[in-house]
Formats: sequence, C-alpha cells, structure tokens
Amino acid sequence: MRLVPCPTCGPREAGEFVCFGEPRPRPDGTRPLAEAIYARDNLKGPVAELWWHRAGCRRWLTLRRNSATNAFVE
Amino acid sequence: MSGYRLKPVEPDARVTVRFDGRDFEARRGESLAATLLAAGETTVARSFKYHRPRGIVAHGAHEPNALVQTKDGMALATQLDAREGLDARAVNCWPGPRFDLAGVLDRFGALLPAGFPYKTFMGPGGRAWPFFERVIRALAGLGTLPTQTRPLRIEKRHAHCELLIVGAGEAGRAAAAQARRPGLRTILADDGACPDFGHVTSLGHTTVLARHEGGLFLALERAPHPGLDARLWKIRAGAAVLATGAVERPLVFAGNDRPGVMLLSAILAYARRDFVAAGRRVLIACNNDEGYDGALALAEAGVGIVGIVDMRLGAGGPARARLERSGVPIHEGMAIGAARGVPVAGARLVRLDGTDATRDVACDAIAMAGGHTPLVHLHSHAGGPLAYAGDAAAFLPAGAHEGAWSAGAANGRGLAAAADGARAARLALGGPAEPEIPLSPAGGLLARWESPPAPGADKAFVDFGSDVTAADIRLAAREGYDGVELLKRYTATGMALDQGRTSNMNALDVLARARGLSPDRAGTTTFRPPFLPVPFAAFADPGGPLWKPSRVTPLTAWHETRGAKMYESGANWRRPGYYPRAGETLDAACARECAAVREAAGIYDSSPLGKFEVAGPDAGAFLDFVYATRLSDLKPGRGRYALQLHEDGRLFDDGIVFRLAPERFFVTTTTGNADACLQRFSYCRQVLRPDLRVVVASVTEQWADLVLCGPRARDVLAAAAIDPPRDLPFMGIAGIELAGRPALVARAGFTGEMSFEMFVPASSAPAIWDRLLSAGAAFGIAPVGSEANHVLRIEKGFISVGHEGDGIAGPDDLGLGFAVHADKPDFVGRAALMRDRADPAPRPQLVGLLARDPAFVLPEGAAVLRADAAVGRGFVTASCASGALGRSLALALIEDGRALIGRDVAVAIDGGIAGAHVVRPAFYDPQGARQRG
Amino acid sequence: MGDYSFFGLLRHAFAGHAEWPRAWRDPPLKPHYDVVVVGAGGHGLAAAYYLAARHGIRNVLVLDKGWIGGGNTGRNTVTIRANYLREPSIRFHAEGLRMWRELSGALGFNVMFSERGQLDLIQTWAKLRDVKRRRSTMALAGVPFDILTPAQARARVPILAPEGPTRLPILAATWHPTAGVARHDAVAWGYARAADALGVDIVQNCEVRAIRRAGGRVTGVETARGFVAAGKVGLAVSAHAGVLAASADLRLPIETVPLQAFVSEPLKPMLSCIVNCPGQVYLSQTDKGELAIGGGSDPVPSYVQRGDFATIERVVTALLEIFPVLARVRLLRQWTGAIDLCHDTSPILSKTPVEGLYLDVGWGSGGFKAIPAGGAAFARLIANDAPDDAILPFALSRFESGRPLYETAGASNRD
Repeated sequence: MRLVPCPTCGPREAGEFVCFGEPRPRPDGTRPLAEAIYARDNLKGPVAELWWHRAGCRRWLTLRRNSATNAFVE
Repeated sequence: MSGYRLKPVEPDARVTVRFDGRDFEARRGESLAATLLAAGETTVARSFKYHRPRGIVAHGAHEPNALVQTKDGMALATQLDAREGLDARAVNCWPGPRFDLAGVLDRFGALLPAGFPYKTFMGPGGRAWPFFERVIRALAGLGTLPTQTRPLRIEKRHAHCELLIVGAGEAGRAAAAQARRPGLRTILADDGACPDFGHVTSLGHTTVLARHEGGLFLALERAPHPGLDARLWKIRAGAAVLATGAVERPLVFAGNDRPGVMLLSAILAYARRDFVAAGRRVLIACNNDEGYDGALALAEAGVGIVGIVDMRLGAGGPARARLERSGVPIHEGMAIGAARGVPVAGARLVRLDGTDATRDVACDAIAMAGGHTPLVHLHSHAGGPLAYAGDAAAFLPAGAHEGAWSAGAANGRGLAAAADGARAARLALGGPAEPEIPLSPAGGLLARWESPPAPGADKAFVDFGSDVTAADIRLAAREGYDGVELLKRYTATGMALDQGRTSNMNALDVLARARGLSPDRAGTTTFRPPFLPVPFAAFADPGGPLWKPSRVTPLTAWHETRGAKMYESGANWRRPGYYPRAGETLDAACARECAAVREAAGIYDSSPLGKFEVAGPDAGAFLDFVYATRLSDLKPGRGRYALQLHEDGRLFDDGIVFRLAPERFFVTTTTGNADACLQRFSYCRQVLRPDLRVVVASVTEQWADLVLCGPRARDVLAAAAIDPPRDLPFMGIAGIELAGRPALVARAGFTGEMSFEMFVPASSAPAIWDRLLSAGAAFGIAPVGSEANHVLRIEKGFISVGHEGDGIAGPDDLGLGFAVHADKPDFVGRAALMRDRADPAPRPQLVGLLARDPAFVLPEGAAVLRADAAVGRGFVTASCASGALGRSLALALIEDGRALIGRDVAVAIDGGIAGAHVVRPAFYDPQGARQRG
Repeated sequence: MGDYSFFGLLRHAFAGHAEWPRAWRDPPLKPHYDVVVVGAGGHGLAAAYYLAARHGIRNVLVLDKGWIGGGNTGRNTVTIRANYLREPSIRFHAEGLRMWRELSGALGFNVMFSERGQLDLIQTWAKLRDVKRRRSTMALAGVPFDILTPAQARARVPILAPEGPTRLPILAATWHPTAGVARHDAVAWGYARAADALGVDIVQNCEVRAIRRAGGRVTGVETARGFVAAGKVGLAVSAHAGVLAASADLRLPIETVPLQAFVSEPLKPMLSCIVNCPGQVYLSQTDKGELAIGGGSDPVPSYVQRGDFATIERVVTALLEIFPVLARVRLLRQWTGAIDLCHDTSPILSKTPVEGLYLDVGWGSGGFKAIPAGGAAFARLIANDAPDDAILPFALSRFESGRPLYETAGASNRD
C-alpha cells in the first residue's frame, strides 16, 4: 500500500512492483565471487535500488529511497 | 445499587436487554453501560488477574473493565448499543460478576506480584510448569469464540481526498469549516454521528483505525446500511487533521478500582447524554479545576454531590465559590487514601503528606478527575514523534508528521480546540506558517495523581485492564525493569484491550517518581495499530475461490468432465493428475496411462508451460547471455534443450528453445518458473544488456500446448489429418495450419517416445484435442496425467527442476553438463560454474537407484545414508513403480554419487533400512532411439 | 541472585516484595573486556551466559542501543521447532529443543517453555513431497515428526475449517510434537539475570557505532559512551548486522526486511498447539489467551519497524480461509520487527576475515527458537576461535565455496 513513484505511470501502489533491491554488479573477476553475487551494502539511510513495475509499464527503474524512513527521495 | 435514571425511558424507546441472564429496561440506542448504570448494576465485570469486582469506569472506547460477551463476540458495554434482544454476559467470571469463585485469587494477591510466574513453577525437573500452565491458561483469557454463524458482510472501499479530518468534535468541525476551497475533496470521519457540512464527505459511525505510510488511513464504518455489517475504508489522504480528542486520567489510590469509582467525564456523559446518574451521593476527587466545573454541571443535571477532594490548596476557580455557597464541602490539600465498600460506599481521606486526615466521607460513587491524556495513536502509528509537555503532563505530537496535523485535545489544546482545529486545517492545506496556539491543560493542574501509599491498604491500580498496581510498578523498577519498555513487558501495563489509554501515563508517573526522574526522561512506549480492536474479517480480502485464484487451461473443463483427479501444481495451475476409469486406483490408472504411451499413444495437456517469444536482431546473443546453453547457432526450424543458471551457478530453469526464424525464437520454461523467467528476461534485457536489440513477450496464455506421444503417434496424426512436414526431425519445429489457424508443431516431449508437441491458439485447443482423441481411439490412445508423466520421466532419467534441482544442484551435478557451453565468453552463472568445476570437494550428484527388492518403491524424500553412520548423504528425489521395466526405480541426489555407481547404499525408511543399488540415471532406452524415431 | 522459587516468593510476600534485588546490575563500563557481545537480545545474552558458565570467560560485556530483549527477541511469535529441510539445520535445532526443555531450571528463571507441538497444514502436492523428505531427515536426528490425515489434523485443532469445498483443501498435515512456545521476554531476562550473576556486565542504551581494528585484528568497539577495548567482539544484532559489519569493511549476504506480527483479544483456551500454514500464516495461543499470529515478511527491504497493510490483508485472508471461525474475533495489536534475512535463509554463525570478530546473525524470522543453541554455539565459537562441526555449515565461507544452505527446495528461490 506504499506508493512508488513510477516515472512512467505516476505514483502506484507497491503491490504492482517487484523490489529487486540494490543494484548487483555482475561478477567480473575483480572481486571474490561471493562478494559480487551475495553481499549487500544493506545501508540504513538513502539507498538506490532497482524496482520492476511488473503490473504497470514493466520498466526496470532505479529509485532512491531512504531505508530508515521508507520515503522515496528525488 | 446506586445508579438511577434522571428521566424515565420514553415508552416508544423502551427495549429489554439481557445481562447475565437477567432482563433490564433500556432506552433504545443507549449503551449497555448506561442501561446497567441506570439499573444500579454497579458490579458488571471481574478483573483479569485478581478477579476483583469491577464496574463501569468510562463512557467510550477507553473503558478498561466492562467487557461483555455476546454471540457476536466480545465488546465493551460502553460501545454496545441497547436493542431488543441484546443478550450479554460478563466475561472471565463464574457464576457471574457479583459472585465469582475465582475472586478468591484476590486474597492471594500478595503471592501474585508483577512477574510472579517468572519466579516460580520451575519445580521438579520442569514438571511443574506444564501443570501450572494449564491452570493459568484456564484462568486467563477473557471471552470465548463468537457463536454467531452468519458470515460477516464487510466490504472494502477506496477513497481519495486532499484532506481527511479525524474526529468531528470542536476541533474537527472547525477544521472542516476551513476546507471550502473549490474542488477540494475533504472527508470527515467520526466514531459517532457526524454533522453534514455540505462541502465535505461525512462518514459517521466510522472509526479511523490506523495511519500507514503514504497517507493511507484505514477506517471502519459500522453498519452503513442494513445489508452490510461494516465497510472498511482505505482512504488515501493528501493531508490529515487528527482531532481524536483526549481521555480523562484516573487517580491512583487504594481501592480505586472498586465498582462505583468512575471518571468524572464518564459520570458527566451518562448524566447529560443518557440522563443516567451514577449515584445519589457523588464524591469528586481531582487535581485540577475540572472537578469543580464538573460538580456544577452534575448538580445542574440533578446529580447529588457530597464533596470535592482536591489535592491542591486554594484552587478551584469561579466554580468553587458557587459550590461552597450551595454547601458542597471542599476537602483541600487532600486525596482519597482508600475507597471502601463494594460497590463503593465511602472514602477515607489523607493529607498529601501522608498523614491521616481522619476524615471519612460516605458516598455511593467517586468521580476521578486527573486531567487529560491526548489520544495520539494515529500520529504515533506511522512513526510520528512525541514530546513531553510538562504543562499538560502529557506526551504530545512533536509537530506535524507526514502531512498529519494533530489538533484540539489530541494536541493538548482542548480548551482552544476550535482555533487549533482551524489552524491545523489551514496548515494541512498548505497555508502559510502560523504561530502555535498555547497549550491548554486542565485548569490549575497539579502534576500529582497518586495518593500517598498507605501500608496495609488495598491495592491501588494504575492499569485496570491488566490488573497492574502502583506497587507492581515500583517492584519492577526495583528489580531493574526500570525503562518504560521493560516495565510494560514485565508488568503487562498498557497491554490490555484499551492499550493503556487510561493507564500509561499513571504507570509512567509512578515509575518516574520511583526512579526520581522527570516523566520525559522515563519516556513513553509506541502506540500500535489498530486504534480499536477490529474483527479480523474487516481486514481480510474475499476468500473462497477468489483466494489465490487457480489458473485453468483451455482443456481444464474437459479434464474435469472426464473425471480426472485434478492437482494444484506450480503457479496455481489446476492440472489432471490421472484419469481413473470406474473403480480404478491411482496406481492402476497411472500404469495404464504409462503403458499407452510406451506401447500405443498418449496425449497430455502441457499448456501451463511457460512460453515466450524472443525477437530482434540480437535475439540469439541475448539468449546466449541468459542461458548457459549456446542458442545463437541454432538453425531456424530447430530446437535445443537449454539451461538457465542462477548467478551463483545453481540450476534455475530448463526448457526447450526453438528458433522459428533468424530473428525470432520461441522459448519454453517450466510452469513454476514462468513468472520468474519473465522477470529475469526483462531484467537481463533492460538492466544487464540494454545494448542488445531484442524484445521479449510472454505468450504462456496465448498458446495451448498439446503433446501427442508414443510409437503410434504418427498414425494418430495421420488419422486426424494433421500433417507436419514428413521430414520434421527430432527437436525440429514447423509452422502449420490447424483448424484453419496457424500453429506450431515440434518433435519434442518429456516421455522419451516419439512425440509431437503442438502449440495451438488457446481457443482452438478443445477442438484439436477432441480430434486427436477421436482419431487415436483406434490406436488405443489415452489421455495422460501428471502421475504418469512423472513415471515416464523417471524411466528416462529426465530431471524435473523442482525435484532434482533441490535449490542447490548445479548443471554438472545433475548430469546436464552437455547443455552448458562454457566456451561462451559470458552468461549468467558462468563465473560461479567455473569455480565449481575447479573445486574438487564433493558435490551432490544425480544417480539412479534400484531398490534391492524390485517390488519395493523407495519413498520419495527418504534419506540416503552414509556408509558409516546414521547421517544423511543425500535423498531420493523421485521414485516410482515402472511398468516398462517391470520394477521399482528411483532417482536420488547423493553427495559424490557418481563414485558410488555400481555399489550399494542404505536408504532410511520407516522402521529400518532398505538396500539399493546405485546406477546411472537412465533406465529406459538410454540411447534415446525411440524419441528420435 | 535472589531466590526465584515458590518459597522465595512466599518469603518476599511477607516483606511486601520490598526486598527483591535487581535482576541485573546497571554496571559502569570498564575500559577493557575479554569479550564484547553487541546486542542484548536473546542470542547476545545467551552467548555471554554460556561464555561465563561453560567456558569460564567472565570478563564479558553485552552492549545494546536499546533495552534488554527489545529487538526481535521481544517482537516475534515465539515458535520453537526443528522441522527444517537440510540436515545441519535439523540437527542444530534438535539440540535446541533439548536445551529449551531444560532452560528454566538451568537459568533459575521460568521462561515458560511449553512443549505443545506444531501442526503444519499441507495444501499443495509439492509441499507434501517436501515434508516427506523432512520427516526422513528428522528421523535421523531423532526428532519425531508424523504425517497426519486431514481428519487427524482436525481432531487436534477442532477450530480448523470443516471439511468441504475450499480453494486449497487440506491434503495432509504434519505433527511435530516436541515443538513449543516460550515467553519471549522471559528468555532474554532469564539469560540476562543468569549472566549478570556470573559477572557479565550488561549495559543498555549504549549504542555501538563502530568496530575498531588494528592490523586485521579487532581491538574493541566505539560506543555512545566512548571506546571499549576488547580481545574479541561478537555481533548478535540481527537487523543492524550489516551496518556494524560495514564498520569493519565487511559486506554480508543479508538484507533487512520488516516482519509483522499480530495478536487478537484474549480468549479462553481454544488452540492447544502451534498451527502453521506454510508460507501463509502461523499462530498459537498465548498463556494470556491471545492468538499470536505471523505471516511472511514484507517484500521491500527496510529498517523501519512499520509494516505494509497489503501484508496484513494477505495474512489475515489466509487466516480466515483456514479458521473461518475467527472472522468475528478482533485483532488487538499489530507490530513489526526488522529481521536480518540471509541470502540462503540460513543463519551465519561464523568467524570473519577480521581476527577476533565473530558473527551470530542472519536468523531472519527464525532467531527466537535458536537462542539457546545459537547462544551456546556462539560462545563455543568465540571461546575456541574455531567452529565445530555443528556450525561449520553456517560459516560465512559457504558463500565463497559455492555451498549456500538454502532452506527452501524451490528452484526459484531468491535469485
């Protein structure tokens, strides 16, 4: 029931989206595999995360949200 | 037996209600509490822990005692409307509230201080607790399950507004008056009746239950019309004014819980609203001027006042002189030391310094006036911060929070409610900043609520609902449970149905004094939704067939009419398990269906399979990236078994990918992962590889998938006049016309027999299915369900991602290395796969198992044991009785399993061990000659 | 320690309960400890207790930014069970069940462990297959676990929806007789009191802001009240594991997500065991009579202890499908914890690349049941500076070696 600001569709309820979480760079040999695949920053505060608007425009969005308040920020 | 009616019930409003098996005359629509009070029924409840007799204390949702049971469930007597036929009983007492056998517990109160269960019942070897737990459970709990069997009729409705005003009291009404801008949508909601303002939507008898993020409010409207029990509103509000009011704060003295001791505000409300007097001789105890104002109002309503006990000296305002003139005794600088009698018959007064005033006042009701506690729940629900305001002796909202502005008494401005409500509305609607309106606490409030504790006196309660005394609070503080949260958990204060509305502040006051802190240092607990208890049904979505709706294929109706046993399989699809003939068991039906496939022909509905079209100049490159299998070199008209991996190298999904044209692929995935594949394809396309020119579309529902298989499959097709190209090779695909519409036919299947997989438009499927069955009748065709499919694939050693994958196996573990083209520079999961290939440590590997007893089917899920100990080494992933091989077969995932091929292992079964021989996981036609045809 | 017994209670009653000593001290911070445990929840307090009681390490400090048991220990629905999927998990929790049975006696504090059994309702064929496998592995670990017919399930829980056409009929049920519940706060308090009696310092309202290192080795923690030196530091902080680990340059495979719970108004006893409808809703009745109800976690990572209403609707809908008789029963309170969900849904009980820094995190929604076994294992790990066989599968290194311990068998688990 949270509102997610979709740049294509406007504010929509969170149930329309899949929250994929923080962007995950692919393993590129520069870091240990576990670091690349599993590790998360899991920051408390402003985070950039990927959302998929599954039941809307089906776009993958990078949105900024504060994980300590749940507020989306510009 | 003290209450009475100030005005008789009008004959046309007269109804009879039952309480504890006795009839009472009531005024229709008044609360049951008013009815009982009017009848002099002072003792209406027993307390939670000590089973002390209790009466009505309040006049609204903050009533802590008078909980009653009806066939519809539990309710507060203060919130239950009198109507003909209402039948209520007190809860948690036997035989009734006036005499309760468990009342004896109060005598042992000294043994039952806060936290007593933590300190005892640990007796011999832990055996004491199960016994005492049963006793405690039986004594605890309040009501019973509702006996009403009629389903509740509750609907949900969404509403959107620029301004939501909660509470139609003075502040709320003033706020509503501000909301006159054209086009502005305003909703005004109130627990009780709601005035009609014309320009606002008024929701009466509507309790706002909770405030969530994003301005979402939940509100429950009671009985909106005769056909509906309630309506749950989900209100999305741009801004809100929270004018939820305040509740009066009790005083803490010995026996303050005795029936007849009430809040002054309640006595006033019953007198003025219901014309019911709580007593003939009311004694008012106060720490502020409201005691005097209330006394005047009560006297005006015809209620007798026997005195005012004021903790202060020389206070009382203008009302005091009038009361003194009319001969009401004022006991200054004093408090009630102890109430006596059940119901209350008098009070012994003490001086504030604790010295006995040796004054005893006879009375039949005591009114407590301890100032007001703002109802800040809605502000607090969504995380709004609170700050202690010493002048008001209350925690108040620390400004607006996420567009919600508290106003009026809820904001500590009860005496300037209209101005505060109007101000809040202007600010909520985006008006310019305005100065704050000064706090208006109860006049001349002295921040003292507890009378001097007297040794040997009766218990003095801070929480009536949870039966917590001031001594309990001090004990908790003494033992180190001295933060407000620990205190709450140790003593249970604030945990009763009223969520501490009347108790939290007094508990905090006692705690702060015990620790020598100011109340703001002691802190407050958070308020948790809902604002009032709400039936679960109010929050539930429609159930039954609408709960997790099942998915059907174009042929589900056919399967059902043919008596198929339907299973709920992956992604909520309803699929046929088997098609039993009259009197046929599952095993017999399954064996017959398998035999048809192996010896003649079978047909199955594979429509739930995930299906995707992938098209574009870079479609091949895209699939090479998503799949571990190389697909870019696939020739048009051909398909290939392909694997998707998780980025950490585990198997994610399998399926066949066909190339229809140079820039167009048709991709099948497992049923259960179809949705996940859609997400993954679009993630890879948009996030990981936006450089590729490709589009992906899910076509799962567009295409039905009928699979004809068996040695007579070609004959059946011919008889049905379906003509795929004669030279269509194994794993080839071709477009043909079927029933006048385009379709795809592929030489692929999951049974190991000659197979034709027909992707046909969903609406054509029933006709083509019928046509194939009719044509196949002469050849012995049988429709085949998932049970037979399971056996057929085990015979072949084909894996099922959900069974053999186990969430941890990689492609090599499952013997699927042939489908991995690791020479591709990059694909999802490649790096981890290369790591696994370089790691010599043992991994789980797929093998076949032949039970020593060929007639014994190893149980699926059974643990395969290490040779040396009763420790698992793996487990049976799939198992069956194979007709084609004339014996039982199983697949298993076993650590370093391939090293065991040719050897025996032990499998744990009920009551012992079964021996099994480890073999390669391919039992039937291992060369695949039959499917190539 | 004061005498916690019936006779103790009686003796103190004559003194008006005015002479009960503090359950634990409010000690000043010392400049140096052998071990600092961060997090005064169940796991941290249990680890401190076992360090002192079993390993003779008593110069131990437990720090918390809030109050004792104020995190997920005091916010969960108290289910204690061992019906896991993977054998290491089953064996770990089987040991836990044994410890729970003895816990009140061992601590001298009644934690009200109530071995009332758990009934799982099986509504899909895939789940039925899954529980058959669990049963076989649990038998190896000596944990009784039976598969029941729907009629047997209804006999145990008479308030279940009667047999009839429903969207997802009950196909079978499992019965886990040694599962139980306990009083959550009491577990934290019991361990706190027992640890304190052995000399462990417990300091509340003192946030740890960073882990300090020198030369790849832990040297102590930076707190709201200054630096505290320590030879070893153990993190048992659930939701905030990532934040603290980051101060030691560690990134963990953990996301912090909200988990909601609900209680009903108190009712007379009507549900004698725990009922779980896997993936949908679970509930039990507290000794006070309230139904304690839980469901799945919210789908969006967050540190905010506030739940999404859509989750409430989902859980309550499932509840009424299974227990239509509860439709008119009232929901009293709803609250939210923030849990540390590990990528493979198994915990991390592990050493770290930083010498002297140990982790007891990632328990997700399952940390409460693991308090005794987890605390004891964490104490062993810290004392020995090496994992034993029981917790080796939970090591952080499992992610590097490609051996995650997924507690779900589904192929499409968290990607």
